[in-house]
Amino acid sequence: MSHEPEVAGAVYLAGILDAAQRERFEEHLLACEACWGEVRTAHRGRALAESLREVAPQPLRERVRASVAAASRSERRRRRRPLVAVALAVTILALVAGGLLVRQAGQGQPPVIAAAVASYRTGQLDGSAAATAQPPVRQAGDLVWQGARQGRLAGLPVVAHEYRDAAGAKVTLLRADRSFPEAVGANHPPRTAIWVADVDGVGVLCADRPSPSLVVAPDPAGALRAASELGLH
Amino acid sequence: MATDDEFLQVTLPALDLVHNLARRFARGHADAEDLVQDTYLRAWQAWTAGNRPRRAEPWLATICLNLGRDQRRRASLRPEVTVEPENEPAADVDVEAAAIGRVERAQVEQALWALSEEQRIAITLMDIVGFTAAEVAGITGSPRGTVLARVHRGRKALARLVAKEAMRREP
Repeated sequence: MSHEPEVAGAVYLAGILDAAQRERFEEHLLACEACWGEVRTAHRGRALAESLREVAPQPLRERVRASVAAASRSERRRRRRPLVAVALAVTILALVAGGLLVRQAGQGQPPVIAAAVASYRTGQLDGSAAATAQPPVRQAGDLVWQGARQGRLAGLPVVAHEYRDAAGAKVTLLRADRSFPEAVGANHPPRTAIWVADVDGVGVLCADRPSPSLVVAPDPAGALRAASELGLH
Repeated sequence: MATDDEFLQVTLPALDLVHNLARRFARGHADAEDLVQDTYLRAWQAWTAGNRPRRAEPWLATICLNLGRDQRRRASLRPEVTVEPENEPAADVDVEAAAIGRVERAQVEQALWALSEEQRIAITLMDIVGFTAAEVAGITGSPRGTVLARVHRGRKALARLVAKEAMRREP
């Protein structure tokens, strides 16, 4: 074994000597003051360093969890955007091909859908009262929540959340306890469980998750964008 | 299970490790916690790109080390003070031991910051965090012999600095 106290001490403390080498060095330590001092001092330094070990504070744990969850949500939205764009293009093509961009008469629609479109246009809701309901999302993309009312659409109890986009266009999110009936002429974008329709020049979209919802927007493209931003699917 | 849940299940057990390492890069608690968060976000990005480490601990330590070094370079922090134990006069080891026994944690922390960054990081990775010399070599990209020399000299310097300060404070 080399007798350079620093090297010998470092190798010994690193625990990389085999049993026989360790035993020989330990015998040597009893006789060599230089090596003994080397090992004692470094051993003490190691104990001091070990005493600095800390447990991460709980708020930091929560902060890490929250930031990863937020990054994950943002990643999911980013991935969904191309899908929504494809769905939007397919839907608009289907609407054009079907001649459905010619306005459909609201009267041909199920009463709940016709009432939703009428309510969107007039701003009136049957049995309307200010709702205490919290918005599902207060701000999403360029949509900002304005307020909520509760009332009925052709007898179906709903809560209507009103949003405005950056350009001031109105988007209404209607939530009910049960599914909305499907609009006549509705299209089902591929790989989604939603339907979207142009009803009398207004965009109407229905999604059942996370809860039965109807989005009414100035046009079908606006309804698709709003549904994506509100996390409906 | 959602991907972020799976990621956190694999990586959160190493939070103490990342926290201890970040604390030796950033002196303030707030800066250290920012570095911890940045480390996890960077790891999450790699995870979503399909990176699945064999072991989370050295993976996170490497990310934290690289981010910490980048941040220090950008911040052009104070010049490092290197203490070489060879140049320190050897004191009586028993007197040192007695003084060290009465030392406070803050003094140890301060002494650790008086070492060179390389020694401080090597000591943190081996003695505070618990990696082997071979693992530290992998994380820092230095040969194992170099790691051992840094750790050994750093430990001696730490013991002597703390002892010196403790003896200075005693009446």
